[in-house]
Amino acid sequence: MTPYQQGNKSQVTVSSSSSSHPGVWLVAELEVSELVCASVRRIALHVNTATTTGKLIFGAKREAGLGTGEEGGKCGAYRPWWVCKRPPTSVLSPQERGHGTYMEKGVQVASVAGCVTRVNRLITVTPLRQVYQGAVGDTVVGRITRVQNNRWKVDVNSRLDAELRLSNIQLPGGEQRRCSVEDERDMRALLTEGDLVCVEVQKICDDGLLRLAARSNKFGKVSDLHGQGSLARYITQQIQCLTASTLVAVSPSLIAQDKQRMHDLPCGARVVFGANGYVYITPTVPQEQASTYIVNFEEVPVEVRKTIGRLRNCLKLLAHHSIMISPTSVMTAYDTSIELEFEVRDLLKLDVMQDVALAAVQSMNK
Amino acid sequence: MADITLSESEKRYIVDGVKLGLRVDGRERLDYQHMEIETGLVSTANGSARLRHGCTDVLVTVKMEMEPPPTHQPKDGLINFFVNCSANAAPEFEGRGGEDLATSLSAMLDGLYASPMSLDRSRLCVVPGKYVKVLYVDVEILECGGSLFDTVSLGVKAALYATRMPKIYITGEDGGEMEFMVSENPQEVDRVDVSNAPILITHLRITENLTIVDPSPEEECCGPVQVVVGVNPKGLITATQQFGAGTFAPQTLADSFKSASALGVKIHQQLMQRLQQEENVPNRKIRGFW
Repeated sequence: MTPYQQGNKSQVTVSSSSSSHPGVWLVAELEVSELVCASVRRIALHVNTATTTGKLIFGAKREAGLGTGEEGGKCGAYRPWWVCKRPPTSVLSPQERGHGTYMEKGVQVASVAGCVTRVNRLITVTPLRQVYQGAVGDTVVGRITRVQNNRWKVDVNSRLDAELRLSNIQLPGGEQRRCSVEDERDMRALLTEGDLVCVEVQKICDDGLLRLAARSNKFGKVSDLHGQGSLARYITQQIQCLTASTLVAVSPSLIAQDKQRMHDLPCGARVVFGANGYVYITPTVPQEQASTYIVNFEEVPVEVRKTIGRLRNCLKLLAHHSIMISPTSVMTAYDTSIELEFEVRDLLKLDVMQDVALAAVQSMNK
Repeated sequence: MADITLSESEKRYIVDGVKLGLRVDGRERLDYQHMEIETGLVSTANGSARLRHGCTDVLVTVKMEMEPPPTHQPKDGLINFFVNCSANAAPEFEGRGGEDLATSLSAMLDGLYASPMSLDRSRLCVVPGKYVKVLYVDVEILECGGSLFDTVSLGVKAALYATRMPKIYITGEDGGEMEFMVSENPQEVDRVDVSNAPILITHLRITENLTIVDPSPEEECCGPVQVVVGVNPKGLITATQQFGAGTFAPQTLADSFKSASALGVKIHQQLMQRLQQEENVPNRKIRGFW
């Protein structure tokens, strides 16, 4: 099913990759939409001038192809560069061939829909919809899938399960010591199948395997109380921030680049935006409490649950409408949904999702 | 059905939420998610429906054939269910992986439609003892994200509702052989009476004495045992089956039957309303998979 072979009205999700390539537009996906053209065009204009993403409708003609952006050009203040399966020849012509492109009849053509990166004459297209590729230093959220000799296998939404070695997690109190046989024997007590961890990508191996590490304090505060504790207690402390959590999986390309990954949002929840598209939401724990307990199995009150549920649904709706996910966008969607007086469960309805997404984009562009 | 493992804390969060009456996504215990339905999207079948419910996606097609009836029921038509779990839905369905699930689904549907109270099969008879209409219902599971039984049964009902079979006229008899003519006019069609067709409602026992409907895959991971209840539009329970290892307390089971029957009536009404509404749209465009 090639996108541009569809009928007259197609909806194209576009996002401007403002952070790295100002003014370049991307075609993310095509779907038939019931959105009213006029209102969406207005949004598209907004999107054009700001740095967020939005949806835009234009007539995709079979002969013209998507690349010309025939009506699309009128929607925005300036004509964006459409990059799709078959872009206009002018977009990618006399360049060096990079990843995600191929030559056809002497013309360079994008083989995937995605983000164009130019380095001098080399031009590459990074696909928008792909599994997490990994970058050294990324903070990711993962789920332990297997416990093996000396290492855990972690699902990080990637092609292969990532690897977390026992030697790559910080030992109690930040103490530098070698892992003993006991540590190895007790691995399952530290992290077992299904547990969530927040770790850093340390290395990308030749075959694409990600090697993870949790050696810095960033990934779990070790309080003084736990300084003398066993490794198990340390890990519990580390996972404590994931206690009573819920995990939302979105496409990794939707996660906005950010130095800080853990955010205490003003609505009373801590959200960790893993670079791999796994986002988890937990209630914020008061500082003094955080340092005194080991495993928090306390019941989360209904009000906090509502906040978490609303955040979860907001994340889902942003992802559904291909809007970049950042603390700002999540909070905007959250506030918008409260302003529009939607119940948490209303946010599961498609029409409500659309209303909130559009309203959130509008208010972000103001 | 989808294979996911959760950490203890996540399970705890889900179960505690159910106890407090607020699930992770803000729904209450007996709330269903939004559904999308479209009928008539497969032009080569007599009837078809696609149902998207949360992350579950099923495509149901109905095809009609003329066949001689089984000797013990010469006056009844037949309805056959075939469920295919596509490997696209879950990697573990690859090869013969989805066969168990498919068999239990089709057995459940067979049981559901076996009773003459659900579907009057004598109306599928053309020439008693010679020819009856046989409805082949194919269910393709495209995506599997919780409450599969409910979605499949709704899809089957919708597809049967949308089924249009050409009218058949008996023109005469020729030496003991009945002759009949199949109408070529697309307006002259027979329909299947689905006014009594039941649907399935799954109750998942998530913790002691508490059940939820329409569980997400994460919630399914917390409670291994579920009871599937067939409910007809009048709220009568037509079939029950328990899946998974575990037990139900008698009171819990009785409660879930009661709520299934109340919920079933509502869902039936909404489904029929939606289907009639869709039918009345003039020159409806097929949205299909776009």
